[in-house]
Amino acid sequence: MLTPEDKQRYDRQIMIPGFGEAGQEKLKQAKIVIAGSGGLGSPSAIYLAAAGVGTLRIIDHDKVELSNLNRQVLHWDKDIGRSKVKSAAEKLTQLNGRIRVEAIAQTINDMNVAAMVAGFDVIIDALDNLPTRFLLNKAAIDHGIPFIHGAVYGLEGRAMTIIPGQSACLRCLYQGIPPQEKFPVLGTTPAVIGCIQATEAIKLITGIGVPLTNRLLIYDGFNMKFTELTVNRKKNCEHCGTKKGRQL
Amino acid sequence: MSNTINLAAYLRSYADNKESVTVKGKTIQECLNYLIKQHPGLKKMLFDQDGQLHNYVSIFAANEIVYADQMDKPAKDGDTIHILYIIGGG
Ligand SMILES: [Zn+2]
Repeated sequence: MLTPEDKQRYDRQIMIPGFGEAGQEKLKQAKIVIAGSGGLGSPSAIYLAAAGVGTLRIIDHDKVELSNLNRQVLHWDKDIGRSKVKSAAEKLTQLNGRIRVEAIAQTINDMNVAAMVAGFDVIIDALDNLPTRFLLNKAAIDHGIPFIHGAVYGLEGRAMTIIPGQSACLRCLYQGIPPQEKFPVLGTTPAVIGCIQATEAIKLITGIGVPLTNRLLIYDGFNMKFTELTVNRKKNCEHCGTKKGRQL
Repeated sequence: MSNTINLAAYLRSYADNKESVTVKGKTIQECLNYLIKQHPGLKKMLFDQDGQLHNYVSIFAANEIVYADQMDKPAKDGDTIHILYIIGGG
């Protein structure tokens, strides 16, 4: 139930057609995993906390480094050397004391991924590496949890929403991983993409709007252009295709 | 007959920082070959030593993914081909 304080706090979004108090109640009950609390995870977590998502589970094994601060806006000068999830949880609970923030300072691997996501409503892909993205993509499909992909490089960003059993997944889009390298990034790029991911999560929970499914949205900050490419499900996709005995 | 190839930002440094390149070819493979002739630096980004498309590169033509085993798909005049190299930063 929404309290009188909730109704006041979230008044401007409750006003959105189709959102209403029912939408706010759904957000209050929602549980979202944010995998990564860096460039993408920071803006995503800030806006999900501000919107009143009841439970946020933030997973990141890293400690805050000076070179993170150009983009990871949840972490500040004073946090250098601290656990990122502790730093994130501190800011998020100051922003909104009515939500629950779970800080998990662990590396996601194939042994623990199921426990990390089980029982949650949405997973935000705010990671900084490809192997774990694929691991999480597969776990999301196996558990039937919507997965919101985001990735950045320089001034380029990409986002896609994956609804298991219904829409194309990350593995339908790419089937492999190139050699890992340190990536350049301007802070505003993950800010754009992280906010798109948070928007998608809020839409899925409240049931408003049209999700970014079967469409890869590409942000080109150099030319300030958005491009959308259709991504259909790959018949023999290793993660979501018929190869695994699933129906398309 | 000509097609435009649109390069994801990541790949532009291998093509004189161009966003798009005009190519000619009857199939997707021929269009990509034309692209590589003009910008040889792209070859190792898109293909392995055996000439197979890397599994982390995605090609789109007529707004549909063209998988590595479909490279002989005809390129319709005027279609825009998009080339994406996977990105994973956060
Ligand atoms: Zn798939």
